[in-house]
Parts: sequence; C-alpha cells; structure tokens
Amino acid sequence: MTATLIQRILVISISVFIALILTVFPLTDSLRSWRPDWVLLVLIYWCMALPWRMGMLSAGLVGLLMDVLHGSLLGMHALAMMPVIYVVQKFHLQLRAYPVWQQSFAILFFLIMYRLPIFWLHGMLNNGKPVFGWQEIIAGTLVWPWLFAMLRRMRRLHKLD
Amino acid sequence: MRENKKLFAKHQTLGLRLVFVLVLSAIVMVVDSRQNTLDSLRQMLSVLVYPVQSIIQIPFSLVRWGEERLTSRRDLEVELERLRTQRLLMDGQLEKLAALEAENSRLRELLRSSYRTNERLSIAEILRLDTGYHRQQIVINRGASEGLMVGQPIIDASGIMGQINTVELNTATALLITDINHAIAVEVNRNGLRTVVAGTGKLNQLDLPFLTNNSDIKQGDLLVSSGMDGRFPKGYPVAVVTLVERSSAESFARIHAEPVAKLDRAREVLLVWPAKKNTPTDVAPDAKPSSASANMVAP
Repeated sequence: MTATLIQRILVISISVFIALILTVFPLTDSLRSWRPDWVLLVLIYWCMALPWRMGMLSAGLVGLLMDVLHGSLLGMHALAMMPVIYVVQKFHLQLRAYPVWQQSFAILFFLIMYRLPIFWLHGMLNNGKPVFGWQEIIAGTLVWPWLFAMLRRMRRLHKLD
Repeated sequence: MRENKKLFAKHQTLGLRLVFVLVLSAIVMVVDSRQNTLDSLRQMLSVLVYPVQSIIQIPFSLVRWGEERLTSRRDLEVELERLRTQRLLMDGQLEKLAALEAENSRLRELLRSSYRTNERLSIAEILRLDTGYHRQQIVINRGASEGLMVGQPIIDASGIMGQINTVELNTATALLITDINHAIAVEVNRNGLRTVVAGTGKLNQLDLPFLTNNSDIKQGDLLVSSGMDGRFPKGYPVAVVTLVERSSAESFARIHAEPVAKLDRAREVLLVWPAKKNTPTDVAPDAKPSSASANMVAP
C-alpha cells in the first residue's frame, strides 16, 4: 500500500522545489533577514522520516542546486548540510520519538551547525561582511513545528513509507 | 524488515560516508574557485534550477503587466505632453549643433593655416558686411582695446582678405581687397613678376591694371603677396588670374583675377600682427608696382 517510486520522487521533489523557491524569492530588506533555511529544514524532515531513501547523496545534489541558485562556489552548501544530515540519519529514531517542542531544540542545534561553515567560508572568500544569521536560525526554529506537521500530512496522504 | 536491513547497513557506513562526502565537497569547492572546468556543470544545473527562477518572476511580471494595462488615460496624456516638450527642446538644441559643428571646422581650418606663419594671429568675428556702391567693407568684433592698428592685415584660411581701415574701441572696420579703394602688392607665384592687384568694388573681382601686353602672365596664375607694400606679410595667397586680354590698341593688358579668400562666405577672420616691421628693403628691378602702395586712409 505504499506509494510507487514515481509518487515518492514527485512528492519529495515538489516539497524541495517549493523550499528552493522560498529561499530565493525576493523579499524586502527587513523581511529578508528573517527567512528560515527552508531547504535544510525540508531535507531534515525527509531524512528523518525516510532515512533509508533520503540521505547524504540527495542532500549533496540539492546542495549543488542551491549553489547554482545562490551563485556561490559549487559544493559550499553541500559541505554545510552534510554534517547535519549525518547526525539526523544517525539519530533519526530518537528524533522521531521526541515531542515537537523538544525537536525544535534539536533543530536549533542543527541550524547553528549548518550556518557555521557558511559563515566561515563567506568570511574566507571575501564575499563581503559575513553574516552569521541569528534571525534566520530563530525563524527556522519557530517554523519547524508547522513545517513538520505539513510535511507529515503530505507524507501520510501519499502513503510514503 | 527489508528497510531495517538496509538501514542497518547504511548505519554502519554513515561515518565513512560523511568523511568521504566532506572531502569531496571541499575538493569541488577548491576546483570551482580556481578554475573554470566546473562551469559546464554549473550551466547544466542551472537548467534544473530554471523553473524555480521563472516561477519567482511570475508575481512581478503580473504586477508590471497590470500596471501597464491599467494606467489611466490621464497619466498617459501627461506623459505624452512631457515627451513632446522634451522632444521640441532637443530638436532645437540639435539645430544649434549643426551650426556649432560647422563653426568648429571653420575655426580649425583658420588655426591650421596660422601654423605656417611666424606672425602672431588672433581670431575675430565678422559682425556685419558693408557693401554699398563700390564699397566692400566688413566690421569685426575686435578694436583698439585689443590692440588693433590701422592697416593691420586680415586673412582667412585660404588667403588675404583685406586690411583694417578704422579702429573703434571694441570694433573695427576693414576694407576687403575687392573694395575699389584698395590695392595690394603681389607677385606672380610662378615667375616672381611683381605687380599690384586692385579692387573693383565688385565682389570677387580684382584688377591688375599695370601689366603691359608682353608681361608673362596667364590665366590660372596664383598671385601671392610680395610684402613690397609694407603692409601685408609676404607669401600669402591673394588671387588667381581669371582673364588675360591683350589688345594692341591698349598699352596695358586687361587682366582680371578672383580672390582666393572666401570673402562672401567668411564668418571668422584672422588678424595678423607682424613679427617685425615690414620694411620694403628689396628694391625691385621692375618699375611700376612698388610705388602703388596700399590704400587711402579714411578720414
């Protein structure tokens, strides 16, 4: 009764696609600093829910797409996402067992872990003043419960195992 | 349970995978930052990413489309009026541009011709033309305040135009060489024959009244200033011979010449300040011309 391969690919791809759009959609200056890291959050969810299907390879590919979208060096976003995905895959069982508010703390930790290499690399590559992005991290933590519920509903709707 | 087996296998190699992927990403980053080899990959990936970017454009295109369709008629009329006024102003400025360009090239020519002389030159503008009965005079916009002197030569880019007749404070009047009261000492460029060229009062016609029937002169000869009159610097083109009529009934030949300077088309002229005083020290063997000196100074 589980979904076919095509269905699975479609659902996950669409969610990643929407996350990509949200990442680069032009926003006003004040709103822009509060933009959560949608792509990472969506990937975290899918790696948590389907750890044997989604993993570092998918994260790497999505990371390349992010690099092309943002115009950064190829491999930078993948480098930043890999450690997070590793931890998610290693501890996916515990993470799924947590209540949502406790999950949010883990997400906070993950977001910080993601932002650190990006911050470091931006500073190294002289891409202007490097921004650590606390506001993005906070926004991501706050958005997580809603996102988790949305994606879980989608997963159950299409019966992705 | 199939999933669990897969998961278990994956679990074991997780750490290794992480290290591998990290190293790979680092290598890709270094390569991308140093060389262009990955640019083709980037281009391929941007094809994948293109839908994202085009979807993002949609709301903005919609807003712009809406703005265009829904502009009020009043706004369009105001814009049209503004554009018309602007166009009118610019057309006016453009007309002036053509005139400025022409003036520029004339001035350049004048200045270029000034390079071959050692005399000091300055430019003056013609304020008006004074051509009455046998009179060919011009008024220029420089006068005593600039140090102009009576008798000072005026030239244009092609040749001698005339000389200053009267000087006021800021303007001056000059006789053109075609004025009936004007004469200038010249020599034929080809053979050095010295004579005098006199004005006829008619624009563009000059007379050579003092050459006999057996003078060596023919149509097309260039006449240049000889400097014998003590007024005009030596060597400037004056006129070209247009007509030579020898008649046995007359003692002098009838010779007409046309001025080289564009007397009727000039707008700016050059004033010549002699480098040193022009003294007619060379005594010419041929008699007649040398005595017929410049002109009569107006009272």
